[in-house]
Amino acid sequence: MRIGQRVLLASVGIYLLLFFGPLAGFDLFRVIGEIANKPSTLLQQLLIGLANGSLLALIALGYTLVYGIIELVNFAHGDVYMLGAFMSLTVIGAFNVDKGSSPAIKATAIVVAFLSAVVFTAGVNALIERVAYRRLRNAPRLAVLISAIGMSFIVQNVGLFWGSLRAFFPIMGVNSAAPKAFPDLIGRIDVFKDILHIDVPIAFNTKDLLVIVMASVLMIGLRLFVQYTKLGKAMRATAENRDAAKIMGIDVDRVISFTFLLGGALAGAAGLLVGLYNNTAVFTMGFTAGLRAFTAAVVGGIGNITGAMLGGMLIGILAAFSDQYFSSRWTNAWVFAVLVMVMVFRPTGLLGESVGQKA
Amino acid sequence: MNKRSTYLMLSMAVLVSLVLTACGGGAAAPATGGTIKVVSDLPMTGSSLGQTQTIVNGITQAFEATGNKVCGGKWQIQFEAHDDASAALGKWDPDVVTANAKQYAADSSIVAVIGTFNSGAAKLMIPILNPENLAMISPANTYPGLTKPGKGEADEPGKYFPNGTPNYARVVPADDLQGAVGANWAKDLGATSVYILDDQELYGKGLADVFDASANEIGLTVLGHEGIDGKAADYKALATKVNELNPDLIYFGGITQNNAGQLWKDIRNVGYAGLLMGPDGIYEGAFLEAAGDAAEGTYLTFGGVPPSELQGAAATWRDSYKAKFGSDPEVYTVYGYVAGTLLVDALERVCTAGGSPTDRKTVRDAVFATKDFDSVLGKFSIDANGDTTITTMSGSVVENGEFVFSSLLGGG
Amino acid sequence: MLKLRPALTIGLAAAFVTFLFGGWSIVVIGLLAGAMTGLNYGQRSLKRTPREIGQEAIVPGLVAAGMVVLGGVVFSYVVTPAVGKPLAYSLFLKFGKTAVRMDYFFVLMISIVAGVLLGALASWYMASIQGLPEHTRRARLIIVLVVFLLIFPFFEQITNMQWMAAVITVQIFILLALGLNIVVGYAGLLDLGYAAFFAIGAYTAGLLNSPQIDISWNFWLVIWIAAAVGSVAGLALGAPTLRLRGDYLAIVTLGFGEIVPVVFRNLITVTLREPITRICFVGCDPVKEVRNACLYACTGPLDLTAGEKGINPIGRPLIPFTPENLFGANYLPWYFLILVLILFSIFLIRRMHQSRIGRAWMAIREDELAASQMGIDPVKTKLMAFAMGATFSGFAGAFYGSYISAIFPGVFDFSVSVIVLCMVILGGLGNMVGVIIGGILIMGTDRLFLPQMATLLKGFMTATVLPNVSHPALRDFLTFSLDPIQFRLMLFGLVLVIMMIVRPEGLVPSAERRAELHAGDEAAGAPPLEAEVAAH
Repeated sequence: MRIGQRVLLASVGIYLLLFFGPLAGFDLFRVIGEIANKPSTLLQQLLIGLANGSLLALIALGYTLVYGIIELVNFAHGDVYMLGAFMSLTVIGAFNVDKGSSPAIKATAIVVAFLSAVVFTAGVNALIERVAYRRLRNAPRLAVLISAIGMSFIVQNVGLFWGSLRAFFPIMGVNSAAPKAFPDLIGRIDVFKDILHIDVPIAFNTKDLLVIVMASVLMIGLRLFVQYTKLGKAMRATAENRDAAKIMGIDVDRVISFTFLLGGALAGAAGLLVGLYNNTAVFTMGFTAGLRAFTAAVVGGIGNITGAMLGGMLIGILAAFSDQYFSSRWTNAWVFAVLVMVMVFRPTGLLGESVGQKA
Repeated sequence: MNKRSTYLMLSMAVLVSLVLTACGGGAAAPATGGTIKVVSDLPMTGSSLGQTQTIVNGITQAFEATGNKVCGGKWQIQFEAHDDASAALGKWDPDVVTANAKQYAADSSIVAVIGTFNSGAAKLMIPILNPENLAMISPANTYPGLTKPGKGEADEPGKYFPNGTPNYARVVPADDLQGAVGANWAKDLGATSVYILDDQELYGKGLADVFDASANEIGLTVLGHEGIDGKAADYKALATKVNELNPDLIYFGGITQNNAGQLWKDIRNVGYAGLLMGPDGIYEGAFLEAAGDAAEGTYLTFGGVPPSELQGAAATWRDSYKAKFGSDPEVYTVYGYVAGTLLVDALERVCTAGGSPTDRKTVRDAVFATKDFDSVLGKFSIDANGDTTITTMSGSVVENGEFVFSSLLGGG
Repeated sequence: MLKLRPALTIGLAAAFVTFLFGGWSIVVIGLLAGAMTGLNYGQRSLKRTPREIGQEAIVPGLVAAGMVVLGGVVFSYVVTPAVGKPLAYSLFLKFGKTAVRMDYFFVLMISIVAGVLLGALASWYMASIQGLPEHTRRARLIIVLVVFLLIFPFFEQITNMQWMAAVITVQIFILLALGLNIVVGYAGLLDLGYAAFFAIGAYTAGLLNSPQIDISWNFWLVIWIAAAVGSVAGLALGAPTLRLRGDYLAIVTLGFGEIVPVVFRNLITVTLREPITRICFVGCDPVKEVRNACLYACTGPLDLTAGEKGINPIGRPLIPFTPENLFGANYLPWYFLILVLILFSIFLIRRMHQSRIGRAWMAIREDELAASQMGIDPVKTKLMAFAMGATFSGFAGAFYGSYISAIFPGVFDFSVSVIVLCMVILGGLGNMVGVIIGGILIMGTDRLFLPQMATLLKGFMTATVLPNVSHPALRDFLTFSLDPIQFRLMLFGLVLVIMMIVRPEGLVPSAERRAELHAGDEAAGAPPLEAEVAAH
């Protein structure tokens, strides 16, 4: 009976998708035709989705870490990532490098930008926790959530203000709100054609490679850290049961602070990588990317680190496919439709254990 | 006691308003001279400011040339630059446009509005100003449907003029020319297949549609036509899709503020090596800044002649502008100046004919009666629709991070 | 002994307004400050008779009004020269089409006299009615309020203050906030996608009253349809998400709020085809051939929402026997229309709040489990909250579309949802007076004070500061980076964070909330309007 109901529900859902889908570019027959026509495009978009997705995953990790430990959707996280991009842009601007500079200077600039962005965003994120969330630890959860939304607006405004400081940072350009040009320091060398000399109809260049490799290294590092270090264990213990952790002698406040530091650091790294990858930083980038990253965290199972990585990849690929096969105008709607669907039908996400819904 | 206090309160309020009424004993404005107000309505918040500020400068310059006076010094022109953008949207905001329009309509000392910058804003403002017979002169709107019957939607432009008489004129050529000229230029550049993108707005989509139709007409293969999301973080997937089709030329109908810079970067990022073309909506410094290196080699169409190529009277104007404001004019600046001078000319004609420049109807009719007006761009008239008779189009190309004039196109 | 601190606080806050605007604002703000002061002193007065209470409040009223006047004088003689404007420019009084010029000094004198007098009078009156029995007091308060709301727009028009556009926007947002208050304040469901219902209302009204799809029904009919469609959308969103609680629900509504504008932006080529008929087995290729049964818009795709171009123009309301252009360039009819809508909504919401469903909402908010044990159907109750909340935003949307005469998908983004949420939280969850005050504070700041501050600051920089600054970077920083309008997001953010940390119940909390949060420190059931208003 239950199964019968589910099958019925699913078939009605699929029918509705087929019926109304074409309005939003999802014409299954056309899509199948296009894929069959040129399968290499599918692979190409998969790669793009993977690169974008690994960046999303880096941001999603911040959401998931924080949610895992204090069950808060840290709305400001996406904007912290934006600050990361601004910080690295500022540092790179101070180095005064551009495309033509020597590789040594470029590499130094990138490393310094990476370090400063990571340290800065980690600090900002921990500060946000200290100022806006810690006092509300025992308040109703909605109160913390609202405080987080407020924090997100504040941080976004800081970005806008930062972008207007052309007097001190010429790299910010003449307009405060306009997208900032991020110098192209990596360059575009096709990995298959020019480095490996394999003739494939797929473009995969050094930028994509850098993003995917860096993001993977960071994610694996985080996974190992949480699994094997003492602090990582303390984090997991706190996530499991805060009171019990306290009894066991874990300084819960410190662990929470540390979690925010860690999430912020990942966001800062993502900020730099996105800047190098897209060559743009704009103060609203945190909001857009934050929502997608959050969706990724939810899809993967919020609170679950592997889930966040998986979710990031999936959302990245979904967005790329939507751009290619459906219609780029509808991509946002598809992403958020997935968010709503997952929330409604499987709130625990793909890999999430039942963290429960303590209201 | 309590009842009394209510009465007291009420009577007090009435008394105050009576006092206020009685005190307004100042002399009414004399009909033979005084101050008339002209406003400009342009987006002055966000990244279009770079362009619009120079238009305001151009208008100021036009009025200052006559000492801010018309009709033999009898009437003083008071010019105010209004902003129709909001910080919330970062570009023109319908809320603000409507509020501004209502304010202009209600302020009877305003005799003409120079604006708007965005065609979408004009669509909102014209119907509010039309019943008041308040003349609008736009230095930048290029959407054809605002003036030309049959070039926009079926009921355009009639639906913007509730009282039946147009009050809207423009000194720039409309996009039905620009789109077609762009398509022809694309063919001249050797393109045989094009992919068309637009930002879905009135201006951008309208332009892209014209380009699309013209391209089909002259035998270019249109591989696709798609609207982009002006707020997306990146366009790599979309750019890949376009690149796979391998068009000779990609045309974008839209404005810088809808993320044209990122679009350009990503199109180049995925390895597209063909031609790129855009309209005057991205013909501004802000675009070069946003797109960076990716802007290199972009072809741009523009209704008119870019400042650097102005000849004769216009060149003199350009130099005086530079001397006065210390920077080069942007592409629309000259139209701000022309709109200003055209208005001064119309006001002078009103006076010569014995009318009062405070009468909106007369001013509007004078603007529409402009014949062979000797502007810095050459002689032109305003036709019955409100369009300028100048149809010069030019093409430019981005070289080394600067707009470089390429050729005059079509029109003529 | 009289304590003047509350009067000084109110005066200071109010003086800030006249400090920015000067001129005729002295009269309006003086009156309001006086009324606030009177209310405050009347409520804490130990005297018994209205006469005594009233007399006691005159001096504080004078003090508050005096500060307002001081602010205005400072504007005239300190601010105006500092921003580089001539003091002697003349002002206009407008009577219909005729404008009468007045001398600046003369205007200032009249405003000062009227401001002080009206302030003292209002203080006296508001205080004295506090001595009356409950129901008379309430009736008086309403009468005074109505008289003020009736006179204000005419005064504004005559004195040419140019506040009307902002005031109408504030009213639209108040209507939205009242609706959201049902969902968040009464039922305790956090809705982060409220702008979606606003958009749905606006688009419904726009489609039914514009040339877009060739339907132009009467505004008075369309506004009801918009409200109904809004409530249906509320049900549609509510039904599948009711299982979720707390932040999960918030996220789903947020997602919904992001999807709806995208849908309106992109429904520009609509054709509906039946999908099953496309599948075929012999002699055809379902991938390549489009041969399935077409159901709607078969001759060519239909442009339903006009995308980013927006629906334009949308018809205006028409009232029989009045000029067709009544709702044209004139603000007054719009002002009164939205005022009536707000009053009507307040009346409805009040009735609902006091009825069975209102109590059910509160029970659900407090403890869902206990409430359902007591026989309240949580599903029905929550659905009702969503539907009712969406109804009022439907009203607001229909009004907005007609007022702007066009709608664009870009105006309904996430920040609108958050601004409305800000209003509800600042004012006080679950209290309509609080929500209205929150709305006036937030939107007033956004639409009136920030732009005015930006103008003044710009003038101040060019006229006073810049001539003394030679360092080019510093000059650029002062002129370009310090723009108050750029800090509006910060303002909303600060409101949310500070309120959550310092005063989660809002400026004017509802009696129930206050009783919960301060159980024990005072008797519950104190009148809602009190010193809190003054403190801010």
